[in-house]
Amino acid sequence: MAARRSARRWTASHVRIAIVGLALVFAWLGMGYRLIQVQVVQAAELADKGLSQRLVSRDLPPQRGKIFDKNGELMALTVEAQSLYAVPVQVKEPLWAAQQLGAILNVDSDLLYKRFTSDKDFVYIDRQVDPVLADQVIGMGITGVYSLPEATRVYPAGTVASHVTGFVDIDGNGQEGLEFRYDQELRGTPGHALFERDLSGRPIPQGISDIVPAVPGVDLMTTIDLPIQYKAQQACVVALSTTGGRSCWVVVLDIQTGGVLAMTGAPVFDPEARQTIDPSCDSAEDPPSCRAFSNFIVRGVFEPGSTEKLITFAAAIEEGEVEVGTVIPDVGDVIELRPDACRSADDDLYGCYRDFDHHPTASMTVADIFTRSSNVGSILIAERLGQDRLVSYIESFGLGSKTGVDYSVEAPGILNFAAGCETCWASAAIGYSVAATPLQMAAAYAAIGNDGIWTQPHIVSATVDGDGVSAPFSPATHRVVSQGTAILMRELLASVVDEGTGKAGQVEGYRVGGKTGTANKLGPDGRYTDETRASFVGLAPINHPRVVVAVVIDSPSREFRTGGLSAAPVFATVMEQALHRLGVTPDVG
Amino acid sequence: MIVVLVAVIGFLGLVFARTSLDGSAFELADLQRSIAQQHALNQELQLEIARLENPARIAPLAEELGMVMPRSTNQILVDLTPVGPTVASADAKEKTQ
Repeated sequence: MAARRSARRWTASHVRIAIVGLALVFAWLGMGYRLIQVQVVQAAELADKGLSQRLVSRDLPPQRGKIFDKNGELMALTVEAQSLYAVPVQVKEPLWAAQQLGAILNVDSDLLYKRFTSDKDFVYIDRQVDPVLADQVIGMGITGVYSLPEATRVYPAGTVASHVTGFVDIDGNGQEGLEFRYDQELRGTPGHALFERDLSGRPIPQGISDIVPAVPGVDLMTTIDLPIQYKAQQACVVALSTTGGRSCWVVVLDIQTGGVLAMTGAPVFDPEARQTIDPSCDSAEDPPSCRAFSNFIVRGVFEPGSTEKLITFAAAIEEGEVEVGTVIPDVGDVIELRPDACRSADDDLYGCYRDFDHHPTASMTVADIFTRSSNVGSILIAERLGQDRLVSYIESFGLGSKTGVDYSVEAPGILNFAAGCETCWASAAIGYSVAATPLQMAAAYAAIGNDGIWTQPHIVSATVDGDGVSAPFSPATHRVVSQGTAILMRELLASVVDEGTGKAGQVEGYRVGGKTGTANKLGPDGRYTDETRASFVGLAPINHPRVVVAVVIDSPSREFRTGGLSAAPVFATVMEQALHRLGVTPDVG
Repeated sequence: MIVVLVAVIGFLGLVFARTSLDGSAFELADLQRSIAQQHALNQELQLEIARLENPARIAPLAEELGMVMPRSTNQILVDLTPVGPTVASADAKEKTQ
């Protein structure tokens, strides 16, 4: 009976149930084993793997600072752009893609085809393009073509402020001008973000998050007045077409502050068209494209010629050697400081100095000598002063050393008083044997306008950080001559414009003072050529000077070879605009 | 039974709080993205304004409209010397009468 019961208990169905039961048991055991393995044995390792898939580490690029003019107008800022790139192996029809993209982006399609067929993993198609254009390209659905965000530097004033702002390279590194000089301050400090993201790339709430925000670069508040800058550039462009000169440069200084109101020239260049800029250009003697890029006002030097006589006369008056009315006897139109130096009118040796115009030998007052820009008379006055005192004043007025202007590169100028040079003092007295930048000359004249106090020229008046904290700039100052001497010199400068060589520098409604300069250029053989650098430096209004304008025109044609003919009209145009812009009250009477 | 009920309610509350917190975090992320977009738009508009204000653009347009720089600057000198009795002095006269 019991055996029958037992046989009934282990029927086939019982066996199947038992097998299924056992299978389930083993399955549960397997899952339990796996669970323990995943959750206990490999827990740390797997958690790390998961975290590494979710964790994202990104550098946060800082916003590059902006550059403003004195009225708050933007001269440089950084905006978002898109860079287009391709993964060559994914581009199915490289020839068609190159032609299509080349036409839309105005990029050489042959170059694009080479890139698409290269064996690289990543090639740029075009960098920093307008986001709308980038969207249009991506919308074409070309396989293997992608975009990524990238900041780009733009200069809304275009060519107008390019000599001031300079420019950055494609990667945002300052290359010239304020962009180079203040590169560290402008670029800011990069930040860093470490966070967990979900499948769509969004940060996971309450996940790991460690963010160090980027610190934006400082903004530069400059002393530049864009309308004056524009007018100065336009005046230069016109002057080049009129005079046939190779280049024209203008700098405008605020006399009281030393701030540069304008600093520009022609030819011009576009800071956003980097392909037209050759960074190797470093000399005013380079090709035209280089002359446009190289800021001659700060980087170039020239023999200032008669404009330098301001220093000679100021020194002589300050030292009590002459007064304005002192009569200098026997002023001829030629003087020989070395025997037989003046062999002929066409073949002078060093030590021979001539006046620009022939005139009979006569007694002349100091004022007459200055007004008529007599070289011979100036040398006779400098003779009373002596070389040591003359050099001391030249240096005090800022020639021969950097002004300290905040620009990428500044030339210190040259003072050639080599031992054994018997006539260098005489050359220096009339603006030869010394080489100065236009900015140095403008600063020297500004010292006379500022009652004898030289003020360091500067372009940036303050920097403003991301929190709005302003750090104003305080320029260095030092006295070069007394107030009385400065006032006398201003009257002499006014007489040059009223009745002397600088009549073309007159500005309607204002009494203006200034000095013309015409210096022959040195040729490759070290001898002076017929080519000149014509200049005019002046200030206004003469009784309460506000502005200095210095103009230099390189190699004007023969009929415009003097400063009075070519540079003075540019001066008048720019000075008029500057006085109007600054709201300077006209002189009465 | 009450303890279980409290535990269940507490658990549900915790889930609700967590969900709300996550929702807020996503909202915050969206707002931050929106701020970045608005910032970029603001930069674009600043650029557009600056380009429009460029003297090199405005000056030729002004010339086209016939505008010119004033060739001479005129001053009007106002004589500040009183030419007749002032209101104050007239009042004073009335009072004394």
